[in-house]
Amino acid sequence: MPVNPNKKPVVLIVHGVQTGTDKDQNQDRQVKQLINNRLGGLPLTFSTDLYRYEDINDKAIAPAKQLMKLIGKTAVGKILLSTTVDLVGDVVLNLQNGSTAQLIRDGLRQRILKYYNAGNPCYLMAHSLGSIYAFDVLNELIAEEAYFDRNNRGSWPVQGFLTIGSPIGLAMFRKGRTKINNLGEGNRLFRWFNYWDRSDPVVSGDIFGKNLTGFDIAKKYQANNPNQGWFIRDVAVDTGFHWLLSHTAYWSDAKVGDGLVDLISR
Amino acid sequence: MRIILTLLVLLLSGCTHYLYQGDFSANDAFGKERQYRLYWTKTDKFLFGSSAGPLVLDITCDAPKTFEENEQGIFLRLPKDEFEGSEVADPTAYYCGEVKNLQKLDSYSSGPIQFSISCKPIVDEWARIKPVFIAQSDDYQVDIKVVKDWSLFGGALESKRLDCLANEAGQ
Repeated sequence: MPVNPNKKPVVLIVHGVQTGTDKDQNQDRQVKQLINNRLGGLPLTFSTDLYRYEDINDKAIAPAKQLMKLIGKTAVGKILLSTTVDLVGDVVLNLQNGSTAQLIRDGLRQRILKYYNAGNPCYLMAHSLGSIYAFDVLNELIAEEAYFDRNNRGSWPVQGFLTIGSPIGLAMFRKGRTKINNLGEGNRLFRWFNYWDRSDPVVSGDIFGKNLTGFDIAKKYQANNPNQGWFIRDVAVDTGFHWLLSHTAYWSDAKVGDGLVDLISR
Repeated sequence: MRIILTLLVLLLSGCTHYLYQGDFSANDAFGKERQYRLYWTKTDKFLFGSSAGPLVLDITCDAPKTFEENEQGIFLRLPKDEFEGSEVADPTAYYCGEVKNLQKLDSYSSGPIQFSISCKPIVDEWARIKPVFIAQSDDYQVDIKVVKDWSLFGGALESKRLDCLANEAGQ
């Protein structure tokens, strides 16, 4: 069923590296609050949904976590080691690009197509490592002939893309992701807004939180080719926080909320 | 002594937050007078430098528009399928606005912000609200007020959205 612009849009959120389980993730509620806070009375109805994949990750790294619990000599040590494995493991699974990463991508694709088949415009919002999975699935869908006829937005399973705290600029994630797929000839544009705090170590790759200079991360994918069809905007945003705290501050930042309202209003 | 040192480090880790904003009236792209707001935030992190931005144009009864910043300055670049303009930025966008008297938000000290607007919105079936944007002009000038705060763990100060009355939306 083609996407109907009059149907209620959904913001589908893909979370990043997390501890805990799927039940612990509540970024959909945070985003709903953020957008409502920034609507300014606009008559725009929408819904939010969260693609949870932490349980898939946890199942894959469970053996390593058990091992860490055995190795940890104290109760605090056990927790710290287990948490570290939880976080680092999420990244390793993505980089390995094995069956677990494919399972996560497949699940995201299914969720996107669920909304597409229902005719709801779907906007993808992805944080941190989640942005890598979202980027991959989006490009896979664009490459398929069944979707993304450039001149017909009704054939687009995703209407717009917003990333926050994305490590897409880091060399370890650029491997195999050196380009975005073209939409082909036409006039419609697919929008990608990429928000990042200059001190966010996940974006800069600098564990000490040194400020990232420069202005382009996502825009490095923009080609001077009229058939590419992506409108890309990089936004260095002052979240007011520094270092790791900045990495989780996007969910409540008014400027990010303004970008979301701009994205889902069209 | 350890407590004093710890407190000192904590104090030095604190941040000063600034909210710069200026309200003004102007015609929208269809000739109706509306309220607008230009705003941005800045954080001075004592030990870690400062960060500012982005500059946002808040529009009553329309989606806010975010300026971009690079080595050349601060400008508004908007997609060609949503806006008509005359200055082509790249295959996907027009330059629709430019800040004329400031190159970097981080270096703003005082005074009005001068900017231009050179595009008008396109309305199509994918616009969930009728875009009203702001009228084209070479010489908008906005007086800026500053709000300042200091905190250890607080985030950027927030500019409240301009409120769209129910009977104004879509007109």
